[in-house]
Amino acid sequence: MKKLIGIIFAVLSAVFLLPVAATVFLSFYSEGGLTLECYNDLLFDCFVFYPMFWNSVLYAAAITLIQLPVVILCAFGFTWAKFKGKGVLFIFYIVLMMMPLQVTILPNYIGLRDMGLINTQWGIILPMIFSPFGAVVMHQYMKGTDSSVIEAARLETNSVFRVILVSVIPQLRVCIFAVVLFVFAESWNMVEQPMLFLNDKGLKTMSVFISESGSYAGAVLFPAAVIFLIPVLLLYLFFSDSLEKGLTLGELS
Amino acid sequence: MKSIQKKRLKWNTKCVLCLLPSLLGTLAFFVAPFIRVIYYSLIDNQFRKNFVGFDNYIDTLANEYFLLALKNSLLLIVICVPIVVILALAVSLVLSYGIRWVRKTRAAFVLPLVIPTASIALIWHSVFASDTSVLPVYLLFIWKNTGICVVLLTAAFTSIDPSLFEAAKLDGAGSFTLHKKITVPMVMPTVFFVSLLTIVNSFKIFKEIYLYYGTNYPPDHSYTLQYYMNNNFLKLDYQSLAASAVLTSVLIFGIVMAGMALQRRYRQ
Amino acid sequence: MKIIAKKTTLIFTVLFFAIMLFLTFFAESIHISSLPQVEAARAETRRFSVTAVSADGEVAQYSSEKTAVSEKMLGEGIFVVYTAEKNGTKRSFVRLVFPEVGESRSDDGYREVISGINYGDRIIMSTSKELYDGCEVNVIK
Repeated sequence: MKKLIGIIFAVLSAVFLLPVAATVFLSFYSEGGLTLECYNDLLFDCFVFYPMFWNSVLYAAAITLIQLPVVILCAFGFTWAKFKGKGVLFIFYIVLMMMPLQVTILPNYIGLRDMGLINTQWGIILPMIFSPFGAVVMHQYMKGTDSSVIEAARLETNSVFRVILVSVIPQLRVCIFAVVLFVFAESWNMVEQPMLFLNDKGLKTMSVFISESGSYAGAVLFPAAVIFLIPVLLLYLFFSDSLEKGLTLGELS
Repeated sequence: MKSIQKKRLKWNTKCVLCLLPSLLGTLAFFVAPFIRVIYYSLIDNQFRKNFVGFDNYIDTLANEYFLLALKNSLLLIVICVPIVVILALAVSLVLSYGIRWVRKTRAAFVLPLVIPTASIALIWHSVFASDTSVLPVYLLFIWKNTGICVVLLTAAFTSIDPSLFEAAKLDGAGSFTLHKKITVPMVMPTVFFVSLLTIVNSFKIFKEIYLYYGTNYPPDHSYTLQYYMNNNFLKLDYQSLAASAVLTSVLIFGIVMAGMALQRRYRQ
Repeated sequence: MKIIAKKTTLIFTVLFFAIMLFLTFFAESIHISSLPQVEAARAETRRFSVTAVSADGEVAQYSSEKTAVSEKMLGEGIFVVYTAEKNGTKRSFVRLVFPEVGESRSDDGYREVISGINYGDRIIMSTSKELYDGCEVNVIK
């Protein structure tokens, strides 16, 4: 019986991995043989690819790094501040988190347009910084942390930053890694915002590149897809153990 | 005495201030513009700005495309969410209680989560190019979303205190009762959450479908609410877009509230 | 085990970004150096005598400046340079032309071109590698 389950499972995981494996395989495939030709077409013949690659990296990194302190502060505030309507505010954050992109993209666009940030890099980075996902997850996780450490730190200093740095962050490490991974993946993956908010080709990201299939000569799409998934994959491999732990406590709403 | 109280007050204020950066940003980029969206949904035209009340809403609800999109979005939920949840349950059951080496395959299920959609849409398209039904879209959704459910459910299963099982066994409970009385109640909240999460994700699926079809006008059965809104956005028809955005928000809000209420009631 | 995996991942990450960085700066020059290096020059013109018959049957002879190609180059066809955008950047390509030439010859062995090469077109004079129709080139001069 156990063997049967084992076999079913092996097949199931293979099926799940299939799309990724197929993408990688096909990137080496051209005209009936294994070849590096597609990579050649992409890397040495398609030079708009490079700025787009680095744009993706830049946006994702900037969003993740800037969001981190904002989110930690916010979660800290939600956990330890006492004021009326805190619960309502948090529910508001949760609801906002659940909204699909299409609903939030119009407000984002209007807001950016009024601020004159359309077609700039900050126009992409800023709205994503304030995505509520990180705050919600981190707050849930913080609820389970040890308050005695915080009390002890408070005896030393009244500065919130110091307290957070010393007592909260070490406990939060796992959750931080999980949030970093997800936020990076989300920003790396974003396609609608660069397409709609950016006009300059030089500012666009690799996700846009891949979606514009057919407008590029040569079979550049599969190698691009492979290169596109490498950074996220590496990040995942790096943080994989933290991922599960971070999400566990982070969802018991 | 007074100085300690004073310090305490200052501390609380500081905590509240912590929320400030996030709040300001959310306000500036989400809330304030959303209010404008509501405003847009209540006027008839960008230029004349006459207040027309709920006319736009009525138009939207009557629009056959909107209804088609609504139907498709709901259909996606009704069909795919149970499949995802059940599949994730099965997988996480095996992962939690099963054979050792099976645990190593966990990564296979989580991978779809982080793999960028753009990379996958290509191969999906090549494989299912000839298929004109809704199947590829559903499969894509299931493929992508089972992962996070598996993670959460596995965590739930493994977080059940084994001592509870010991105690129950000592009391002479059989295997079936064991699971019914202990496992099920402890895992249920997570199941709720996972279902809710998947439902919410079903609304977010736009990117995948768009990349898969590569066009703004997919086949009828894949035309979801986001397409409707996206096309309005591209047509600069802010009124319809605003109305449908508000309607969709209300819908999601309702679902989330219902889900949370259900969850709370079950807790009792 | 996990730490080894982390170290490998880190090495891979650094390697990956280093390669991408290298390629970002050097891919274009590498590509250009792999192209045929060509020298191109404007198609020349020569004076050819033209016989024209006017409406009332009068025959006149005059000479006019016409595009001309060297007799020597006619054999294997002429490569004409044109620019086109490929994958977002402007590149130079060549197309193979067998121009239609007239009877008149100039003193230094040039033939009049009737069609195929226009005034102002640039023709390949020399190349470092064999050319074919539609291939990309790097114009040095």
